[in-house]
Amino acid sequence: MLELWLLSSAPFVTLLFSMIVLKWPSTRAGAASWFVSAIVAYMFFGADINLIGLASCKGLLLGIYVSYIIWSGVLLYNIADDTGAIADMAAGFSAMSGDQLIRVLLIGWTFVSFLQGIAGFGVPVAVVGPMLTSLGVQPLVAASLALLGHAWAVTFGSMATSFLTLVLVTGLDAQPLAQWSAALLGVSCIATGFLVSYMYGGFKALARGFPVVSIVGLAMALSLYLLAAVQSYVIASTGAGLVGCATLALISRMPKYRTKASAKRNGSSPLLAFFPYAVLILLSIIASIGPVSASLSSSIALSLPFPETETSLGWKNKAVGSYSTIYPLSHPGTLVLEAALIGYIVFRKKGKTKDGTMGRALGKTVKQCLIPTVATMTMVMTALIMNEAGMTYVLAEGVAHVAGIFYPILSVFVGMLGCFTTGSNSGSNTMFGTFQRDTARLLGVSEYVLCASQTTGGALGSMIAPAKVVVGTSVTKAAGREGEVIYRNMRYCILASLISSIVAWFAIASLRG
Amino acid sequence: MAKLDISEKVIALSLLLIVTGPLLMYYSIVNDSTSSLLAGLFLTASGMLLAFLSPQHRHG
Repeated sequence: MLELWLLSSAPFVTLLFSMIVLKWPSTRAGAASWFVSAIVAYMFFGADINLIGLASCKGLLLGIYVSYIIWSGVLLYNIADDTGAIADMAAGFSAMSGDQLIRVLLIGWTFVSFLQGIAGFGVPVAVVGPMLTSLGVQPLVAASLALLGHAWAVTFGSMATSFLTLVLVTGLDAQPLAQWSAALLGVSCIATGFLVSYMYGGFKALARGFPVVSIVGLAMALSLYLLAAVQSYVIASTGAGLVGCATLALISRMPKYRTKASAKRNGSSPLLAFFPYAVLILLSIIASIGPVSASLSSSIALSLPFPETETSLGWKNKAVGSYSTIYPLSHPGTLVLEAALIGYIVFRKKGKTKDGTMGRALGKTVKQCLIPTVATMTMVMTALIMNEAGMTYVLAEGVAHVAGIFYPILSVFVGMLGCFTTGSNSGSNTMFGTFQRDTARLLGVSEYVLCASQTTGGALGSMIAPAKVVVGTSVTKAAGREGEVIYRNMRYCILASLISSIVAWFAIASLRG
Repeated sequence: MAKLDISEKVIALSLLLIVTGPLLMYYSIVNDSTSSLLAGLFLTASGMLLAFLSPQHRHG
């Protein structure tokens, strides 16, 4: 059993070691881990070539889903950059407050969380990363900050898809699960606020930002909990993010944070600069409205059916009628692309474009997106081989077996592991939702708290998931440096997860007592 | 439009193989064709090998 557990961790170890220690680019590390996962699955987990082929194909479909957002997000950025909109936007944010820490918190914590609520799927990181760099934040730090700041909002973000996935796979009552999830994520919200301050400016920024983060964090955490309690799951992150933006905007008007002069405007127009992103927000809201969403989803759908597979060790993957369905009309990538094109047309009408803006933007997009796309494909294919061969389950089961009664502390980390491999909170909840519920029943502890820990870990894992990290690095001109971002965020992710684990542990202890 | 340099062309070729390989494997599995299954596996592995070996420059 120990041998299998060690073998099942081999692709992870390969990926982490090569990216963090050897500092290999993500494409090389991803390819290496694909080879390791395929060899281990074939030789030790009884997977045949059919299973490896189908798992790779499933990974490809998920990779296409994510890559479409990356390409559209980078094109949007390049158009905005070429027309000077990014610089104008930075001037606009600078004008809101003379305090750089407030600006970073506003963009990299509250605004990114609001975007996660309405868009998700990597869009918030793709939008906010360039905004932070335009404020003068280093590209690597900007990518890390955007990933860190939005993580707490992931479960109830993207119209609560991750949370609803958890409800579906576990069959648990939605309301108590939502309340426990919101409670743990609320704690994570406050924790990530402090961590964003610390990542930006060390202990000095942490101390200076303490009162602001405490007030805004509490406001967002309470909003999240209240919206979850009244079963408004779909808008819980959006609402909490909005409350955060409004509270922080009010605080930024206080004399203490208005001390320095605002940035020079140079005749720039921040409102016009923000236009394509406002269009994106509007399109995301429209696309999420029930009847609109249903009609967009029912018109064209791209997916493939997959047959059942089984390893010689008895691990079964059920047949799927339509796997990773892509609805081209409502896909986040399409919404971003539409926003980019509308933005380009408006910028052109306003005389902001130069000769060949679109050609330059497209050329830069191709150059910038090739590496992240290959990296995404290789890593998601690796994750799918691990899942379909039963390797991920063996890995998690080993952790649960060793931890025993202390498992609740580790349950957040299991969720994190799931997000790391699949690149999404929903994927993590699909993979480990029932496992966490069954483990809770075996241990005689609250299944609601343990499943809430699962999704909290899945949300926090977003800040280190390679599939999301490549989105952050590709839009902040830090492509190929994913290992450094993962290494930087790993400490913050573990710390935030540990805080949530302790809260979950106390919750379980108090329910037992 | 900017031209791709050699390392970018290698990555683009790797991407093409990584996309076509698994699709060919899928097609062969649902149609019971062993020869194209192996061809698909070969294409996928070649794409991965190219991604592994490609010279890369870092941005930013």
